[in-house]
Amino acid sequence: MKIGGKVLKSAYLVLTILIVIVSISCSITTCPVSDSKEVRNIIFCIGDGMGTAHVMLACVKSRGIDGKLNMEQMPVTGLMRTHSADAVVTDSAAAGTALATGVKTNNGMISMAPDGTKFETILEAAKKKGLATGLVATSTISHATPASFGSHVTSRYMEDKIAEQLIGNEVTVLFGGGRKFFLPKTDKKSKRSDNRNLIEEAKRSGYLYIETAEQLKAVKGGKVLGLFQDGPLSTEPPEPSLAELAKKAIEVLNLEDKGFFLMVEGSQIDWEAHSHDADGVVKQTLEFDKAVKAVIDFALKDRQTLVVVTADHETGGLTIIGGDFEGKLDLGWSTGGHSGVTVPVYAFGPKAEEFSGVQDNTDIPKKFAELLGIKSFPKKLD
Amino acid sequence: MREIEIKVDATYGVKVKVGDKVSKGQEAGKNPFANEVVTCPVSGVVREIRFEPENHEFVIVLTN
Repeated sequence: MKIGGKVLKSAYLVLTILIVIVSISCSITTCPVSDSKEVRNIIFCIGDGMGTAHVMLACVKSRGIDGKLNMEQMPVTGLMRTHSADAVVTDSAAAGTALATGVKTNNGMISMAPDGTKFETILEAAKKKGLATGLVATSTISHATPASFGSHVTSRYMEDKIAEQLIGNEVTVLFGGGRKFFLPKTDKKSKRSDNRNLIEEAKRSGYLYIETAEQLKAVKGGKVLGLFQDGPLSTEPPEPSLAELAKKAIEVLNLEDKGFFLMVEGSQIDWEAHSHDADGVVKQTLEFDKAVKAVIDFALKDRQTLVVVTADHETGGLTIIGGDFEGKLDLGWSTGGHSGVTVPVYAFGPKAEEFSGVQDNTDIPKKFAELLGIKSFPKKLD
Repeated sequence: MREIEIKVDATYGVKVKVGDKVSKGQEAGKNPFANEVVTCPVSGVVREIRFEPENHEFVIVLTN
């Protein structure tokens, strides 16, 4: 009995040591999908226009044909359908609306049903529940995808109205471009039709306003509006990279008590694909993937953060039709527009397994709502 | 010879290509709302097509 007890003790000790070693050396591919039952934070990364071919192209060019991007190393993968309420081929407004509200709408519309009924976004629902919220994009912050999470308008082109609503919604962190939609029309750079100065209004409502990488580094917390260009971001230094923006957003949001919801968009993959610029697609996809890595690094340490990476739609009808193993690829583009094919979904963290299989774009925010304990979603707004 | 610009939403691509001879009324693309077709206002030749990311649109330059 005594010897048996010693053996048991030794076995327990060895097991404990093994568990500690596994925990310390946990990487994205070795970590369990769900080692926490609770989802405290959600980080939703969207590569605009990023199909599976865009991901593979960027991977082959950067890591070789047997390599994997950071997003590809996430343990759960799925596919997502993207059609809108009125078209097989969606635009970013209808796709963003589906991903934000769980409701399909017509192309061009932002977070309202085709009949104009406004629906609560997952960001708004999370905020109501006490979570901090954030939107980060390399486009103007009022562009279709980020707009879908924090505003409700009949047309994606109403960027001045969208900017007003983003500030009015008190999204904790707003990082992107698009200063011109926040400046009064008296300013020569303005694209507003009125004299409202949304930057000054934001400051009065408690936002810290920043527009450089140095100012970004100095941010300690609170509500932050970061507009780093008049138009979209250049995605070149000295401007902060998408990864740096995502990292700072996480740092700020994680100071809050009740968790956070953050959306990070690599907006310009779509733009390069519209131009059939393969090098541009690679550059923007890798920039996005670096941001995904920053997100994963946080989630690996935090262990209560669900990370979901997907696209709103595919752009260009990109296919890989030949090449060699040294990284030369022959590409085909079937359209200058978007296509209606399914897009990849990658997930990591608690409850990541919920995002495997083939799903509709409206399923994603419904799953987020359930995991955050948000009842009654999708929900009409009064 | 004059130049005319037509703007179509990038979602649906363009229905013409550089060098095409187009007729007045021919479909060039669609506007942001899926069911509305944008047609060539005049007959002519497509001289240039460029993508303008901020407005997510293609600009088609016709000469006639």
